[in-house]
Amino acid sequence: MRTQTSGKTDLHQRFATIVGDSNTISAASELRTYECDGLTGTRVTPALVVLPGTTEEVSQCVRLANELGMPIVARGSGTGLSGGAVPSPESLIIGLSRMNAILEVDLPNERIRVQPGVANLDVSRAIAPHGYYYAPDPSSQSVCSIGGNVAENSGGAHCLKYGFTVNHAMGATVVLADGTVVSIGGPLADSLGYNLMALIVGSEGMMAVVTEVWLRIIRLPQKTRTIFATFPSTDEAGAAVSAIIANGIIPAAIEMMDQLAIKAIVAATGVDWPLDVGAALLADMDGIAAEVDHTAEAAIASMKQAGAVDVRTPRDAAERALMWKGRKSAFAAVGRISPNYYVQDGVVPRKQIAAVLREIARLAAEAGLCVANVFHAGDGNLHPLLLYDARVPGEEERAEHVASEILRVCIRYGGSITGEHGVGLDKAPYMGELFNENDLETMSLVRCAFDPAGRLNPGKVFPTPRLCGDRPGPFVLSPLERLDIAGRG
Amino acid sequence: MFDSTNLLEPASLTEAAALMQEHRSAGTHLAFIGGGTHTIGQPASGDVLFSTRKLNRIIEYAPEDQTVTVEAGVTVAQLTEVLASCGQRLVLDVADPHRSTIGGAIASNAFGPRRLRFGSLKDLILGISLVRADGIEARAGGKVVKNVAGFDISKFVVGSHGTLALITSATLRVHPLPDVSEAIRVTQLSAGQVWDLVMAMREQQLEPTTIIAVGTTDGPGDYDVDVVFEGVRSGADAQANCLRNIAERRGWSMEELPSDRVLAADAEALSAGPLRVHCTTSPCEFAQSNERAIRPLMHTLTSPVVSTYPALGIFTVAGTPTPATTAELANCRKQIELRGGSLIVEAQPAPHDGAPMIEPWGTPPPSFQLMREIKARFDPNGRLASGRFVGGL
Ligand SMILES: Cc1cc2nc3c(=O)[nH]c(=O)nc-3n(C[C@H](O)[C@H](O)[C@H](O)COP(=O)(O)OP(=O)(O)OC[C@H]3O[C@@H](n4cnc5c(N)ncnc54)[C@H](O)[C@@H]3O)c2cc1C
Repeated sequence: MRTQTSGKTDLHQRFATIVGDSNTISAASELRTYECDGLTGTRVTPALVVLPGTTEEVSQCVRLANELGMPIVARGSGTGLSGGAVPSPESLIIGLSRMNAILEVDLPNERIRVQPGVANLDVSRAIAPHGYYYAPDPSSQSVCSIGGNVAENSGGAHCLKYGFTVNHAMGATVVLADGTVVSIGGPLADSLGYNLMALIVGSEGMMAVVTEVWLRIIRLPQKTRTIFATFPSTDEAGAAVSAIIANGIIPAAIEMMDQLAIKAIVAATGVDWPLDVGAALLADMDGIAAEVDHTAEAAIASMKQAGAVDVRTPRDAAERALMWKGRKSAFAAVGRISPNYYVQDGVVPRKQIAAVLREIARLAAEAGLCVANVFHAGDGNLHPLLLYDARVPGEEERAEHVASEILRVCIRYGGSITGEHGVGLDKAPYMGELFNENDLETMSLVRCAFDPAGRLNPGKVFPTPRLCGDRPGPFVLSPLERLDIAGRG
Repeated sequence: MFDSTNLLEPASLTEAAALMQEHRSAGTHLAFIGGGTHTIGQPASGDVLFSTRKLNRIIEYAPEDQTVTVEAGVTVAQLTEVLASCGQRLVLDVADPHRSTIGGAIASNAFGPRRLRFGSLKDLILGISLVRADGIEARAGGKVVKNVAGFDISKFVVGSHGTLALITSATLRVHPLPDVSEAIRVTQLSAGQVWDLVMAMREQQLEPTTIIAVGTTDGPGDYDVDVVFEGVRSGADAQANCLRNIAERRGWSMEELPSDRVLAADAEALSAGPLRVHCTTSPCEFAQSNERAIRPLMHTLTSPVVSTYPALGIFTVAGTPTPATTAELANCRKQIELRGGSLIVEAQPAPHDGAPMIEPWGTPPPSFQLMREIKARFDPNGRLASGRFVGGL
């Protein structure tokens, strides 16, 4: 690219006329921030980053990128764990971090309209004084963006009872691949026509750039009771989870931590959890006060019957907050006891948790690696963290190998390769093991309807690159042609 | 070529897929039908009916995981019975559970009053199997309650009214049956008071599973509001007491009633006549929508009933139309669409004297172009329920 007198490239100047010079990033040192997301092992420097301030600016950037033939990668806070926001070298990254306003709080209709750059926790903070909250609570909630949550259909500890992002995102304003601005779904219970919101949520940045979102908000429950229980091993803890749910109780959250995770959390946060236990459960029961008293007692009874060593409830709100802080900082805590770790996100039927954890332990042991487990037990959504040291030759490869074997175990047990972190780059190779070619082609049909030229976040989700055929007219027998577009990123 | 007396009724998933292949080659136009309780718009005269009634096996039920996988033709009643044997239920209220099929409920986004607490099929569906117009069988989602692998085709086909593909089976999330279910009817409220009641319960952080207000045309104060609380005895009792206090403080009268009466009353209201209109509005504009759009429409009907889910902003009006109805329906739709809502004519009597049917859907949404693109990719030759959906999709 020809360098101009200002020292900025043509490319920089052209986008700067849309979003302003200070919101256009082209210096190599600054671009580095955008070369990866939370999956730090995969890094690619993009061609340029823009930080638009309005939907209109996003639209203009998309149009210009099209004119220049640049692939487009939307980016929120970059906390994704599947490489969803990793660009290709020729990509334009559209960072939504400046679009972080809460646009409308509509309490009577129990909904809120926000820009995509708003941090998840800021939604709940804004409405807490009115007795409301936003239910999906990824552990990264203080930083991750609503736009990222929508793109990944993010979950969190409290999604067992309340559902995931898809159950709470009602409508969106989006910029399509050709720069058109369109509203999808809407703030009411249903909107006419196809349920396009189900596609936008979980679209992993491949269907549109989301620039506004309508979210459902929920009245705070009358009461919440937190229970912390320890067990000799994950077997008993897994049995306790099954027993509670078999009893007809749906806890708001029920999270499991194994011994190594507990040790890491204790070391990092100072919670006073015992270190000599094999596993712990942290559960919340919430709802109508009289009901919560009943269900909490029933849950405690189930835990004891399943073999709990010790069951405790926090003395006060501060202790409760500390317990949850412990759980939510688990990944960071493990990061402090190991130079590197690799987190998986497989899902298995709830009743198989204990068996699958044993398989994971065996796989890790065979590879000579340690594994810490801290996960959403009620949903069967496992998060094994494989500890390794990238400086030791071969360890990273061994960790990656075990990680992929874990996904295969999850598939074998009738589960899924990802419960909430998304497919992105990282798990795309396994999509072909979970789904057959026809399944993938069907998913690709919707993507093609949104983005026929494959401009938005190419190279993600699908195991092999795909091109869309022309929009089929009558008598076109094969609606899709698969051409080799390797190299498009 | 074919006429609608021609009925395809495969008895297995394999046969269903084979028929789809066969009719793809023949270029047949197909109209899928389950129980036939919720078919909107008329099949075109050349359409061949493709019934799922014999696809009625429960494929896999995992009570511990609270999931069930069923073929599309399983009826709601059949599934309810199987789930009840393990103390569970699919929270899906339909007017005619013995006829309504799961596939049909998914295709038509059927829901009832308990959507308030449990969501709709958009929230309960976990996985799906389809046969596309081109005869290709495909699957999406899975059998676990949490899954983000691939785009969410399962939730996407909810409410697509048979225009995208044949739904052959689905995996659904089920819930435990509650210990108790208590219902209270607060009687003779105006529309404004109905909304007050909704807000008062919210203020007290109550969690009713159902709020239905049913009214006739008898002017102000004709709404009877049924509220249902489910769960363990202590919780339901506490909530019912709280509701009694709310009503007593305002001088409203109440009746206790068996909770199964509530759903029956809703179902009755929905079948009050050959015309049935479903409106989605902004919940907090309950009184305005009622006054500006719903009541004027009801005045043109004989023996009209309106059944509403006020906390969801949903009104369903049923009755027998008079000559004034068509014009008022257009006005009602205009009022509702102006405020961002929608009005669907779910059922209407066959017009006489060659008069046209009333367009069921109303103004297509801003994202209509995308919907057309999707339809064109799934069904390029427009063979599936062609012309019957929003905007003639
Ligand atoms: C410590 C830690 C804990 C975590 N815990 C959880 C958890 O409990 N549950 C969970 O679900 N996830 C969790 N995550 C993963 C991550 O936080 C979520 O996936 C989150 O939603 C990503 O948001 P983000 O803003 O960082 O998105 P990014 O990482 O910036 O982007 C993620 C994807 O979304 C796309 N995208 C972003 N914004 C937009 C937009 N406006 N329009 C279109 N596409 C867009 C990107 O292209 C990319 O594909 C955790 C991550 C970390 C680091």
